[in-house]
Formats: sequence, structure tokens, C-alpha cells
Amino acid sequence: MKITLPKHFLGKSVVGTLERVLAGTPTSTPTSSTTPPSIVTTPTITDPQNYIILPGATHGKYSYGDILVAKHRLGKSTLTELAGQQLGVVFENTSQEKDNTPYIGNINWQTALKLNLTLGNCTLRPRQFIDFLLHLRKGADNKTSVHDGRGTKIVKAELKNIYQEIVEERDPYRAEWLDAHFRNTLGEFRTTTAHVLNGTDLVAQGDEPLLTGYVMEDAYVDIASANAQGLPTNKSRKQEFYFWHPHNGKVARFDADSVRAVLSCGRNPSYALAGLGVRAAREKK
Amino acid sequence: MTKMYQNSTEIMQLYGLPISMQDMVDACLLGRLNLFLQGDTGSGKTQLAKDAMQNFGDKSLFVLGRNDMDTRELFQQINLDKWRTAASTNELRELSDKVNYNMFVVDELPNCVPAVRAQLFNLFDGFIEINGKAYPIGNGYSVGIATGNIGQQFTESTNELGRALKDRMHVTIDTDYFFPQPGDTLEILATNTNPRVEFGTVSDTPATQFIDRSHALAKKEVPLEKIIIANYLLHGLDHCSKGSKRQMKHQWPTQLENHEQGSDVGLVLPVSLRAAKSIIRLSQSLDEIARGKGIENGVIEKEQFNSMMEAYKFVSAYSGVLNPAAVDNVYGGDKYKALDAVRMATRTQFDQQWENVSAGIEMVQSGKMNSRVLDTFKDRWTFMRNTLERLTKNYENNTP
Repeated sequence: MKITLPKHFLGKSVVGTLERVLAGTPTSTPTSSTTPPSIVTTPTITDPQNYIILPGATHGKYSYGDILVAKHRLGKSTLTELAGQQLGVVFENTSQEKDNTPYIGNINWQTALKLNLTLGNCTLRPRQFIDFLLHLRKGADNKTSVHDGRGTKIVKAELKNIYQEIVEERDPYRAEWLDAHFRNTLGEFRTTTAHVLNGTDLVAQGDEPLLTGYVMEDAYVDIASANAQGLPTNKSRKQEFYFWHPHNGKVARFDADSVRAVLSCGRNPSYALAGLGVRAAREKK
Repeated sequence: MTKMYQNSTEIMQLYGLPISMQDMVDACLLGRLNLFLQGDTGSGKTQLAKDAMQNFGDKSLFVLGRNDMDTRELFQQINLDKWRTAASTNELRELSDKVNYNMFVVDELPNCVPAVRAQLFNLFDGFIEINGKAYPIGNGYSVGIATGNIGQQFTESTNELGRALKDRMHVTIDTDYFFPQPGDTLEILATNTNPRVEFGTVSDTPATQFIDRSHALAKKEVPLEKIIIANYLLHGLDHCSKGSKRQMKHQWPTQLENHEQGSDVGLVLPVSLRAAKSIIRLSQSLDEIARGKGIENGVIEKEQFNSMMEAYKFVSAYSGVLNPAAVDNVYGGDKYKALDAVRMATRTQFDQQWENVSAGIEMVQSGKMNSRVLDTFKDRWTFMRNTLERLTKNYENNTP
């Protein structure tokens, strides 16, 4: 047989690859031998105009870099269908935002986080989510400039709409899962967060005791007082945000309906409802 | 040449070029791949096939499939009606040599009875079968386009027609998925309201020109990258927790592990060797079409993975490799969409393995097997070990 050995494979030079592979320093990641192949690949965001840059922040010992946060909750697309195929879940749009943007609901906490991770996204932690809300509000009040993923300044009206979509007291019920799980271990309350996928399992990269001083009851709170874990430390007379304090075995999400807007840290992870979805976020590179 | 079929719908993007249905038909003819155009009545598939005949001038034959047609009538149409009087094999061979057609279009193929259908498939493949013996026809080039409207279920193994189409037609396109754009139908309706299929003018260009291009393409060396991709589709997609999907037979996909059900392991079977050849051939033809539209060789070499994946999609969609339940449940019955998912997964696989494969190629060049390189290939990539071993031997034998 006549086969000419190529100098390139997949458009990249083969020269030097043997040396790198033998040295154990390949630049590509070999496929896991146990994990079934991902059927979804989203190496980069193709629609940066639909994301908001959340500037990096430091809260005590916790800090993070700039994050791209989606303007809308995650909606059904070819990619979510592919992710669903991998996860064995059929994702459907079950609700829509006020501007008629449909989004995926009826997903429990685990599925929501797995969906984001399968797509190469992450789910915001409570602290990041609160920063996102505060950033939106400051932008809507003209106190700061807020930019989309392309670096284009977002107009005040749009920021207000995005903010109101999340927090406004109105029907229908809207909610989104956040990346935090709470548990009581031998009398110590801990939170796990920064989940990643290991095969088909969620594995937390962050596991730490809850910081003291947060509001340990269900009450209206000042979210601007939130600590590094996103748990408010001050109650508020202004009935703007309600807080459900952490419970053992529960997870975090943010809800809003005609009664109130709630940062909930005592929610059942297996719960699912049409209006309960998830928002995509990514580290900005 | 006046071509009547008008359809600007892109059926794929290749090297940044929009590829139309007409381009796809040309690619099939260039690659000598039999094409089945499935679609609803009046969707233009017959016109498309008739337009394609113009590439061959009077060396093409149009056959309207009817259920009352017998092989005798078919043989009359191809001037083989004297075969009964032929006394010897040699005389039969002389007669078959005179069947001077290079291309056959069979409209409404499913209407034909199985015996006629079988002979038509033989004609597509360049021979005629008489008394159990095969006699070659024409001058070494023959190809067929068939049309039919037989719904979505024809690839089921219980369906005789489905099996025959799977075996003998290399590429199947569902024309309903690629219906002409409103602008196309506007022009068609504004210029001509004749609802009949029309024959365009016969081309002055001799069929030999087209056939020569096809022969030249067939002789062209296939890049190793394409062969590795084809081997992945043959062997890599066969891998599963139970060992081999082929060996699982009817237990696939129900007996797979849960985590495999949602991935391409449970969605698609490996391709057959014949399909792998068709994929390579179609990819080569598509590349040739792209070259004809001005794409440079450097670009084609760099992005040939995509033309292989496009070819895979169109060769495989109706070949029975997809899990019909998954296609229905997850992709709303859309086979092309399901294969797009497989293509994405395949791309991810190759992106993850490119460096190991490249190291393997460098290893072959060095002429020395290295177990550490071979050990990087596991599970669905195990096929690369044997592939590289064979390449190394071949390289040794051919190195002065």
C-alpha cells in the first residue's frame, strides 16, 4: 500500500509531538479511559453579546477573576440537546422571561449544574450571584458602566430589564439554581461549592465551614452585607430581599414571584419546577 | 448546458463555501457514488437527477420505474434485447460491451419489482447479470441516481427495499430537508409554470471529460488523515463497555451501560467497510468540487477533517447506523441532526487525541515502534495501535 506520511494532522504540525508525548508533556488532554465521550463541545462562547462581564472581586479570603454571565437563563439549543443526550435528560424550554426569551426549567439542582458543566459553563456561587445583582443595579442606576462580552457598554434600560427579570415582585415565578450545597457535619455547618464533573458525578472543589455572623434565620436582609460565601450578615427593614438561611442537605437558589424575591439557602436539591432554571457563566479569558 | 433545477439552499458549508444540492450531486457523480434522492412528490428530485444527466450527454439513460416493467423491457431499453439469441458467453460479453451508457437515472425506483430493481442496481454498478453471470457494461464508468418517496422507515432491516437501498446506494439525501429557498421558487414560478419535469439541452461536452476527471480522482492518493478518520468510524465507533457493538448485534443499544446510553456509544453504530470507502470517496469528491470553486490545496489539507465529517453525515444518515429510538426521542426524528451530534463528539475525540496520533505518525517515520506511544491509545482509540503497527511495517518495507 502506498501511504504518504503527512507533516500535519488536523492542520497542526506533527513535528515534536513524539518528543512531547514521550516526555509526558502533551499539550492536548487524552481522553479518559472510563468516561464516555462528551458529545458536546463548546470551547468558546460564540455569542459574547449575550453575556455580561462581571468584574472580578475579592471578598475577604475569597476572590475571583472576571466572569462572563449570561443575560438570560439558559435556553434550549442544539448544544443543550447534545448535553441532554450525554446526561440522559431531555431539556425543554418550560418558561420564558418577560421579554419572551424562553428558558429551560423543570431541572433539579444537580441536573442544572451538570448541564452548565457539560456545556463548558459554570453556575454562579451565591457570592458571585449577589455581585452580579449589585453590578446590574449599579449599572441601571448609572453608577457604573456595565459591558457585554464584546466590551460594548450595555444601555441602562437593558440592565434594568435584566435586573427586574431576576428580582421583580411579579408573576410568573422565576428562579435559578446557584452553586452551593450546605450540610451539617458533626455539628459544624459547611458549604461545598465550585462543583465540577467527574464522569457523570458532581464533585465539589470547595468545601469550607460557614463563616460566622450571617443571618441565621429566615428574614428580610440587606444583600449588600453578604459575606464571602454570599450569606447576608444584616437584616433589613426594607423588604427587598428575603433570605432563607442554610439547612442541612439543602442547596442555594434565587427565586422571585409576586410575593417577594428570595435568596434561598434551604432548598431541596431534588425540586424542579417549570420556572426554575439556571444561568450560564464562564471565566472570562 | 441548461439546468432547470434551482435550489440555493446550503446543504453544508465546506472550507467556507456554501455547498448546494447540485454540488452534492456532482460530487457523487465525480466519486462514482450511487445516489438515492428521497423526498416528497414534487420536491424537485427528478429534475435534479435529469439535470445531472447533462454531464453525460447521450451516454445517460432515464428509466421511469413502473410496477409492470419486467427485465425484458429493461433490457430492450439498454439495447440488450438480443441477449436471448446469444449462443455463447463471448457473444453475451460482446452484447454487454455495447451497452453504451455511463449514467442511469431511475425515477420512482421503489415502483419497480425486485427483479428489475436488482438489475438496475447492477447497471449502476457497471454490470448486467444474465443467467447468474455478471457481464461488465460500458467503459469502466457507470453510476446511478434513483429517486423515490418511501418515507422514513425504509432503512429498517425488516424492509427488503430498505436493505437493497442500503446495500447498493452509496449516498442518500432527503430532499425535503433541503427544499429550495423562497427566492428560488419565486424565480421558478415567475419563469415557468410547466409542472412537468423538463429535459435541459444536451451538453456538447463529451461524457469522457467528466469520466476522465472521475478516474483521475479515483487514482489520487488518499491522505492518511482521512484513512485514520475512516478507521475511527469503522473501529473507534465500534467500541463500548461490552467490547464491540457489532458483536452485541440486536442487544445494542439496550444492553449498554447507563452512562453510554446518552452518548454517541448508544446513538450510532460503526460504519461498514463499504460505507467507509464511500465516505472517503465522497470527501475526495467534495474537496475536488471545492478546488473547482477556487479553494486552495493548503486550505483543503488543513481542514479535510470537515469534508470527511460532511461525507460521513450524508453516507450514514440513511444507512441504518443510527439508533432510531434515540433519533426520535432526542432529535425529533431528524437523522441529520443526530449525526451532527456524532460529528461534534468525533471532533472532540480527535482534538483530544491529535497529539498522540501525531506522535504515532512521527514514530512511524522513525521506523521504531514505541510501546509508550502505543499505550496512549485506549478504549475506542485502541484501533490506532494496530494501525500504527501496520504503518510502521509498511514504512520499513517501502524505505530504501
